[in-house]
Amino acid sequence: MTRARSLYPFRSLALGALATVTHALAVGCSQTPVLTPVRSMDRPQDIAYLCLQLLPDGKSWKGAPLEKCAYEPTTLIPSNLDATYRLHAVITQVTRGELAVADLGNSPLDIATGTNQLVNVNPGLPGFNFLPVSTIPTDVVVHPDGRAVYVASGRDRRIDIIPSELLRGPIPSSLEGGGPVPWPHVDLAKEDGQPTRLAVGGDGDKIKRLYVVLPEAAGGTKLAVYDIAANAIVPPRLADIQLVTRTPDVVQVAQLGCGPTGTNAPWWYDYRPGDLKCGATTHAPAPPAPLPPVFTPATPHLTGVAVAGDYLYAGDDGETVVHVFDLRTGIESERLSVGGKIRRLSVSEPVADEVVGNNFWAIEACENNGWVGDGQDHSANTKVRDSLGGLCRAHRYLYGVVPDDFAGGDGALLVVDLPVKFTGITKSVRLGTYSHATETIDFAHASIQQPLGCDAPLLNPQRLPLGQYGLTGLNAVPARSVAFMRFDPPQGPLGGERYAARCVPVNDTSSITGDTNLDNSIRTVEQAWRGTDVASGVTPRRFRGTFAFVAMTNGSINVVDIDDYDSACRGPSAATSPTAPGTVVTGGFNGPSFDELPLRITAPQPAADNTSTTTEEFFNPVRRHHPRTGRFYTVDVLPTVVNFAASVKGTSIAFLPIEGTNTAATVNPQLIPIGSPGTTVSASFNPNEHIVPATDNPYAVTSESWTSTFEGPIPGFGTTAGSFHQDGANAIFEDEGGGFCSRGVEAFGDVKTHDILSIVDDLCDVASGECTQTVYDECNRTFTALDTTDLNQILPRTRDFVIGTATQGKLELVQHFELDKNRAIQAVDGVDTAAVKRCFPGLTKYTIRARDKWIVVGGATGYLHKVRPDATGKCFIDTTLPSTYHGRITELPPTTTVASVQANACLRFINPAWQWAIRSGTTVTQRDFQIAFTSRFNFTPLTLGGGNLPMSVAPVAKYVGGLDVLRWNQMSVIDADFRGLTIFGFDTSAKVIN
Amino acid sequence: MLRTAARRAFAQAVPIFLGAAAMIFSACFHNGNGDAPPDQDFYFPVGLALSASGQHLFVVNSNFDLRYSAGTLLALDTKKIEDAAKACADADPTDASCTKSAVTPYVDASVRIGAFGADVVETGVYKAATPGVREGRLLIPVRGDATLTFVDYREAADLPGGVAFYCNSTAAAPAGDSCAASWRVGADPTANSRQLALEGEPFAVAVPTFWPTAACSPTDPASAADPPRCQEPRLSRGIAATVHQISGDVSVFVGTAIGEAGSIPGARLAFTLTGLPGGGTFITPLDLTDESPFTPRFLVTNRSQAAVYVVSYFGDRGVVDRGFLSVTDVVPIPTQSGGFDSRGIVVDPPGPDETRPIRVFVTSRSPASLIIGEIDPKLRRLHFITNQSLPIGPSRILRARLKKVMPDGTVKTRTKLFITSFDTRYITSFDPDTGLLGNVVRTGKGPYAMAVDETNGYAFISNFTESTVQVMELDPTRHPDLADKIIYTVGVPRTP
Repeated sequence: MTRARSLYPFRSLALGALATVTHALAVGCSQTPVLTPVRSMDRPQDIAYLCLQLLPDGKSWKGAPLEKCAYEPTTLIPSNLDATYRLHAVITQVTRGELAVADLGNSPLDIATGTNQLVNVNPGLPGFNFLPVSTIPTDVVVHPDGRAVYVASGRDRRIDIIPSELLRGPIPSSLEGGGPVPWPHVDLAKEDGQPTRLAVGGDGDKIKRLYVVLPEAAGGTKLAVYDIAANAIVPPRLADIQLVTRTPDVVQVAQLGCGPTGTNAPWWYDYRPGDLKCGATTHAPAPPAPLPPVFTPATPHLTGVAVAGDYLYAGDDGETVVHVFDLRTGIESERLSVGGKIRRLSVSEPVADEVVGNNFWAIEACENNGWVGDGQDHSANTKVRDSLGGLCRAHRYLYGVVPDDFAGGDGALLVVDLPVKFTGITKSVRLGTYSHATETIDFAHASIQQPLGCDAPLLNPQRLPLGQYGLTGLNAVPARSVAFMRFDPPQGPLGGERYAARCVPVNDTSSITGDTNLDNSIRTVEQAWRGTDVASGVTPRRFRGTFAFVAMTNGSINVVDIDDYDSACRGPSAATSPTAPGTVVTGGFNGPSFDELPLRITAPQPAADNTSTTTEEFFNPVRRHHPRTGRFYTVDVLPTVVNFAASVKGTSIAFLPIEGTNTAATVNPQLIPIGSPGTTVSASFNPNEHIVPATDNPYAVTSESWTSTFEGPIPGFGTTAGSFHQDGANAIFEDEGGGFCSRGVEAFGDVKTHDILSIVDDLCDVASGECTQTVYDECNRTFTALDTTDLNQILPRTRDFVIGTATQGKLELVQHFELDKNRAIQAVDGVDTAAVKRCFPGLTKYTIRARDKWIVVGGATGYLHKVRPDATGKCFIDTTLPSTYHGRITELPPTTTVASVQANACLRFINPAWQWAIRSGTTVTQRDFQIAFTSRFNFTPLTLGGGNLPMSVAPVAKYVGGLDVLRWNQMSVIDADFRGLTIFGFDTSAKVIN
Repeated sequence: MLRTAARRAFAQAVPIFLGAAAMIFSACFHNGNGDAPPDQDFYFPVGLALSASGQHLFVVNSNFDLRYSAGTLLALDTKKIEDAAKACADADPTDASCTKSAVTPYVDASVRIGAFGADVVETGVYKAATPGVREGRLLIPVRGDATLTFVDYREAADLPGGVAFYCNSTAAAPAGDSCAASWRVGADPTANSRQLALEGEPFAVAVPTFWPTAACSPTDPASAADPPRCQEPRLSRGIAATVHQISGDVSVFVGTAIGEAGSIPGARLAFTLTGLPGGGTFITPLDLTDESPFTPRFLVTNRSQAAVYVVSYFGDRGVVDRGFLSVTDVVPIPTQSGGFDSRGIVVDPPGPDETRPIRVFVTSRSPASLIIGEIDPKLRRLHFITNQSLPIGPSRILRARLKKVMPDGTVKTRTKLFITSFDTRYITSFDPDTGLLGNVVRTGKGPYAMAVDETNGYAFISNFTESTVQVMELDPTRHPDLADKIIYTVGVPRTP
């Protein structure tokens, strides 16, 4: 038998159905074929939109400005709707070096209903055929007038210029054999290197230019500028903007806004424990702003670009800067030191201040009157004066992807606030009329934002991490691309059309009449968006306002809230309470009266039903620069406490809480129920009435175990070891790797409050000759030998040493504890390290404990503190961090009443996620008395499916003066793997074209 | 007649059958009794390597359809090929004479090995070279007999063709000779103290290139400066590791260095690490050069998890072949959370004039992408930061250090990556410094293994399915328009 004969059976194997099975099961053979899905796109990467008009001959097309394809379904504004105009997308195909053209139709409605939307430019060949362009197309942009499409080649140093009339083909048959294309191109010089990104400027009446990024140009990275204003098909190269070495401008880091904001601020803003004043009428001075990022000179290397207003912004993965080019002057006007290398970036359209707290009516006035960004003093309007300081500020936000930051999160976002000032604006964008305005960015006051700095202690405050270090670790991947979209769908539940209509959480239109600053004629439309009717009203999956869409490298599209028009209607109503869902709580809950809550300054309280708000359990569930939640915070997703337990050294304690109005003294410490004055809590102990979530921060709450331990050990010690020695008169304990500051050791103020070093090591070993039996016996009397069979052994206080000062690797010990003649413990100044070393020779295991305080540790959150090492290694308290970043509870006196705790938030322990209060019992609380519970909740961000390998996101929009003149209200994602082009509607409906 | 029919059947089946065959043939650990393989032609080439001098290109032919009785290892004259390629580039690379050519004129030596060779590495010359003579060793994981096959080569002017193979005696192996059992390490469980036999399907091999160093001479006092690095290779005489295709296990060999054990390899199978994810695909050494104590590591990819396994080698100073492997880290590939199936992997340490971190690149088929990672300088851990779209079906990846004109006009040596996409017949070049694709080039059918002549600026690609080797121009100064393009084909493309 020959080998050949033996191959016969393989015919049936290979050709039959089994072949498919074996293909799936075949392990390891690297030659395994991949079944290629049937589709036309092949590794698409970038996209641009243009409007084409079908000419009267019925077969010819020509380009038009994008606004010619605007969608205007009503008669409120003269409609441009013309059936001859159709929106098109052009998409680069990297592998084959082609440009796909998709016909999206005459209106957004065609997106959902259209079929065969890819344009076949060569009907002579089977399948959908695309336009051949240069090798490795790296970017595509469209002339502002729709005249032509520009495609950069990543290999051939050229830019194809495809006249719009040729985009739909048919292409000459000569191209099938690789013949020359029938359109012109720009050849770049060898010294230019490869073009990577393109940008066009010149919307409206501005100067029309094509900008070409040349990162590898000889002599250094630069921008080439082409004049596309003239009618010449091949644009002349006007100039190069060569980047020269310069010191970048310092961009300050914005101070966190989670401190007190004013004397009338709601209580959760008013909480300043310990180091700052709490409950005082005069607020503590604002902490210093964090230091700006350190700039290290490097060779600039341009990456992604974005045009916004009169500026072109460019990222850099050489220097940690953002370059800003003024399109009016053609120079690099700013170089902003931002502390991270940026690969891709995007800049938002201008938005007003965030609607939070009580500034709603003021922002309404700003927007209705066209004051946003005008830089004028509008203090004559009392609302603007009181809530906004008289200024109607406008902001653009720069979001940049920082690709490589292992510590802070790979692919996290840098967020920079760019204050905007307009001159020449005559009408409000809100009212749907546009008048060209001159825009100026106040770069001197640009600031790096700390998006989650108040909310998520474990995250890098100067980044917005959406991936592996992001909230709950969902979508544990880096971001790749980001784009902004302003949705303003015209179809409200009541019909009609208004622009930027903010949802009003008031159920009484009459109450706002008479305010001359408000346009009451549109109240009904605004009201119509309210409520929990997910089909037509407010819902996390409906986009109205400005949002950032972030493509993650694994395919998820994460959504970030910037300015949700419906944010004011998201939150509790008078009929809901986070602590007692469904129960009407007169006067509010958890401390504040209802009138102190957001949006309640001049408006009447919302009705006790769900017609005015979404009745969610958190306040401000929509926050600027925060991941958008994917669900309502309804009762069923409320954070809860389970598995409550109390113990000492592993022994359960019969916990006797204070229940209801029962204030009877008990021996052990108790939890005090938190609620509003007069609130009646359950007769039996319910931990959910004593341990309450922070009502305005769903971002910090997660499912984890929590422990509060009296004089508990600070995490990170216990198995660590150091050595005692004497430094002159000072007793020193040294552990080079101790990280005492980083781990939160506190030795500030009165020494009686300082932390304690406690020896947890065994005594010297007689058998090995470390000490004599006599010394051992003496040591045993003083320190007590370890009982290795008792993990819960209570060690004597004589093993404790009070810390005087702390540095990262060294502690100065100032007191120890001795037994007096009555065998009572006394703190005695000074430490005889030689005596200690006799009993604990060599390296000594130790732990650090708080003194007379409870240490709070979350299984995921860890131990929160604000202690940091300074440049010399000495510990200090970083007051720039939120005051809620702490993990120590001071026991309340046993006489503390329930009412006082309910009335005064300063008496409670409050961290970003939870709050509770502990009152001591009639006896001194035992060390290691522990209260433990498990919290259940997870923030669920809204994510959209973007395929497997999304390369770019792009709005289906064209912004002129802050207004989307296309108004298709759709967003697009390009997936290189299988999905091709996905277009999302404002209701997250998706259409795939590939 | 029967053979003709069988070949026709196989030809019909191959496109969908390649993967299935790997599993079906996994039991075929012995060579068949078919016809003698062509000693001067390619037949399903799977491995390419250049000699240390660059004079010869070694090609491992897998005999994948078992048409012949054995696989082969060929030594081709690199200069002749490059001269022909240059002539084509100077004239017209699309000319028929450049798109196919006979193999025979380039073959200087050949030897037969087991069928289903899967990979090849050149281990370098560890012993002092005789003037005018250059020696080296090739390690070839052979799936057909489940061995790591050793073949030594010698390049000298007085040898016929300037090169000879040695794998069965101290004499040069004549064409048609086969490697002896003693050079096929792993088959004999009595040859090592753990009485191990090599698992089936050894699929890729990695040899640490970071030891021994020049200072590691036993008589050199400077060896004391880096004891772990210097002592261990002397103890193990060099290690090599293979990953197994089906089980995903990793085996380690000791004594693989040439010149330590005379003409017959003293290599022994030392340990097989089990419990790794099934479907092992590739293995590469990782050197964290400044760590102390020094621990050699390997990075292992697989088809069943979106993770790279870090496998470390720990030597036993008491017994040479009692060293062992352990999984010391599992690095998730977060960018591929929607899929898995990682293939090639390379480590890219910085050059002397570069300050960047060590980079790691992985090819993945699901989705088809190049995954980019780094060793964090502080935490010394691998983490993956982004990915880059690739043509469908990527398999092998190659790192080359090539001259590059920098923006300031200076010429420096920088990394360039080449990735083959087997299914769609593309080779992609990628500049990791700029994050830009250099080119996406159509190749012959089934591009798989690659080798780069960094000195002369040519890349070689073996096309498995059509049994050819193609030459890619890498020097943009010679022919700017042809840089990163195919300019010459050795062999006549054929349908399997």
